[in-house]
Amino acid sequence: MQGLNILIGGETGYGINETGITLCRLLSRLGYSVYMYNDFPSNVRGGHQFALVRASLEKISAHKIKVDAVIAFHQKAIDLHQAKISPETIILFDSESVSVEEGYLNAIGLPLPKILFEAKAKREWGGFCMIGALCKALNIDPAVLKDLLKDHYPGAEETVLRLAETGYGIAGRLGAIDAPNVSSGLPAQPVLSGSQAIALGLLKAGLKAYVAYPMTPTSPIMEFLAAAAPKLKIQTVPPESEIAVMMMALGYSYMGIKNAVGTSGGGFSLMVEGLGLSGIAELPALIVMGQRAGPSTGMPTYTSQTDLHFVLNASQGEFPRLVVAPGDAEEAYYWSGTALNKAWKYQIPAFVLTDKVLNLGFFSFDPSIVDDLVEEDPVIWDGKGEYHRYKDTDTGVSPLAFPPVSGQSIKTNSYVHDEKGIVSEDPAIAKGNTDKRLLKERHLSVELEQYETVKQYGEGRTALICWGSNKGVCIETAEKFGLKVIQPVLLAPFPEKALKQALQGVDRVITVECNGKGQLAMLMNQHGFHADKKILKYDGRPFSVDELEKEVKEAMA
Amino acid sequence: MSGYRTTAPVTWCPGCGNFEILNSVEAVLAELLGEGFKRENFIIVSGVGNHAKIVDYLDMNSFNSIHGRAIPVAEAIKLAKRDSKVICFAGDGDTYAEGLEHLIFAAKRNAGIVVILHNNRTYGLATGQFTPTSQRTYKGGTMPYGSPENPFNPLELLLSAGATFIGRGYPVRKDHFRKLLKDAILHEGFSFIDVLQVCVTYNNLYSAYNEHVTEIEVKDPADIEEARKVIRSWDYLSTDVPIAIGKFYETDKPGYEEGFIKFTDNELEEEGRSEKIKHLIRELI
Repeated sequence: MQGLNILIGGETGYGINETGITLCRLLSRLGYSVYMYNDFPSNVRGGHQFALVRASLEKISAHKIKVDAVIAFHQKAIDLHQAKISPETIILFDSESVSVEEGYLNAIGLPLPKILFEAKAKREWGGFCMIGALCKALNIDPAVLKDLLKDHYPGAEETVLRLAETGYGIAGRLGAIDAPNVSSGLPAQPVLSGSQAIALGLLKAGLKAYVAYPMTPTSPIMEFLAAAAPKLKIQTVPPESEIAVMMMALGYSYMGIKNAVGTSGGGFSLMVEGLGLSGIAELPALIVMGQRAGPSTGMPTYTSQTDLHFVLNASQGEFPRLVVAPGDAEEAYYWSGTALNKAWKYQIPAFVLTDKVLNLGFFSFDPSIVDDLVEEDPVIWDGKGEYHRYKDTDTGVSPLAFPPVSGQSIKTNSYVHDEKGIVSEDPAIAKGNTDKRLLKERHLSVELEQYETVKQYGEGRTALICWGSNKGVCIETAEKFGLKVIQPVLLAPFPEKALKQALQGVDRVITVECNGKGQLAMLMNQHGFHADKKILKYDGRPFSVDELEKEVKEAMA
Repeated sequence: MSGYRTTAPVTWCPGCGNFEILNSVEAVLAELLGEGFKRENFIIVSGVGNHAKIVDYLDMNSFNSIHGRAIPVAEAIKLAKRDSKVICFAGDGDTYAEGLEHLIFAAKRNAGIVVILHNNRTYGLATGQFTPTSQRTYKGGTMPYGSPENPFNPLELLLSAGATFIGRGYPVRKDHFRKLLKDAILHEGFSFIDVLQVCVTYNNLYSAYNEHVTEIEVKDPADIEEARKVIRSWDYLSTDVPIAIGKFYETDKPGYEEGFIKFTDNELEEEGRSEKIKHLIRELI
């Protein structure tokens, strides 16, 4: 078997996400690369939620429409997904609440409420029973599931194992699909959400404090870090608003405490005044900006790539900023840490621009990249003479010192300021402040030329150019049509040289984005690059491989 | 006291109530340093407005934040370095209007910071508009026929929110003010003084305050009901009634910072971090 696609559908709040993640870990332990897309309404309980779990021998980070198996906790899991299923699809359903029409050849019902009642288990754990049944249906060694559940549910293992065994006992072999251990020889890979990967990358680069106000889709970063806080000796702070979040972050930065904040567009709107302060006061800041469908409240649990220009241009005044847009878990890990390093090295705000698909999606993660990321030291004052926080230097970067330093005053300021950090309205000083900031940007830009800031996959005279979470779907689609994929991970300072190089030999450019205006194409245009065709999607849902294939075919015609 | 001043020229109006706040801060600092406090452990933070200029004039660690946003900066500074003394200077437009949320929450948490609120009851730098504590009869450029709103009583809000030190001062009563200031700085936990700072240009209340300000001493500073009574004795509506100054409330409660790990410079701990991260990742298999 080359791959497996599974739909899990049920009421929001009753374990759909957990069932999907457990299934991802199971398939990962069997040797597959996995990806999960999670689609849910902005409800706590009720409504229809579904997760699409995909396993493949190739590395993947996109979903497909057609599924091989459905786990149906309620009727909508079948009724709303007719386009995804066929008579051969394996259907495991709750026989007490779901009815399956005749004609499905591989359907089997499990009386979930009864099984859960007998096991004294909560409703959210029905998924373990279903996964047990799926193991039988797909010829998966139940011992792998047993080990997995033991590892992840210590203390509750008796109950969850009983549920899985019950499911396994009820089901039979269904259909012709096998998902045995593919024993790729590689150890099982961890399964991380984009949010977890971001948190881990920040930690590796020396994060000491994380400040955030709850907001989909970045809250899991805070939740992960808060749980790890005692072990990792970090502080996680949830203040009264995103305004306070950003200001607290800058208070930490003034004291030399590496920190990060996370939010989405609405929260970032409130952070913008603090962003400008980071710019003028040269206080490092790291902002994880997880895009979702706007404007305003929009569709809170759905995705978009509509905030690129907001992030590039937010705040009055001119100052450098770093913007990176990772496309999967490994990039989220590496570039979050790298962005934190550069924020401190250049004393600027840095953005990790993500979206709901990346933040809340789950991915196989290759732990061998962990050692590639190290904490970099910022430029620190040598302790000689009187300290000037904003001392002019050849690079524009003034050495840092943090209170307390005996005999020195460390002054920072939201006003235009002299080298000491005292307010000034002198025209030469005002100009000097801007020149200093722009000088830092030039040095940052040069340093980033050593990084793979524009990624390239495959070869072809036509290139799909994408950013962020569209990486995976573009790579798969391009392979089918023999196209090249170009993915700028760095969006500011814009990697003109690297993009120019990537476009050598390309005579046709198609941009792929989840917004209505073609925001990357607009940015490219500002730098002299032209898109021949734009493929845009802005309904809150990411492209499936099937959808993008169709769009690309039309664009090529 | 010139040892505490920077070379920045002072740009307040002649007669501005801020001068006496600046002088008092210098005097109290000198006393505290004499008692063993270290100058480098003081960090002063301001918002934006005439009050904020004080951080430019004092040769100390300082963070000139933005309008209404001194307090969250100060809270993080205290979390970062628990043995620092963090003093926030704020204004009434600045923190009673734009940044009120931060003030209420800092009191709720009992954050270990001192807030000195320069309450001149007008916008000075913005040239004379009414603020949340302007007297009802106040007329300014944006409301030439008078304000349509009553002021609120910020001290009553702070008492309800959980502040553990609340006082009001009038710097013209120099010795009284300096003692209050020192007490506030020495308090552990959230400490607040509403300072009747006079704006000579846009809301000159010197003669009203000189006549009506009354020094009071509460019997038991930890008695919240007595504090509430004193605080309610003046509602900021008018200026021709007795205006109480003094320490109205002080109590001990666990500080906000105690709920967080304390940062150390332990390098061994840092070295173990990479292994801990690998362990976290392994748990996700």
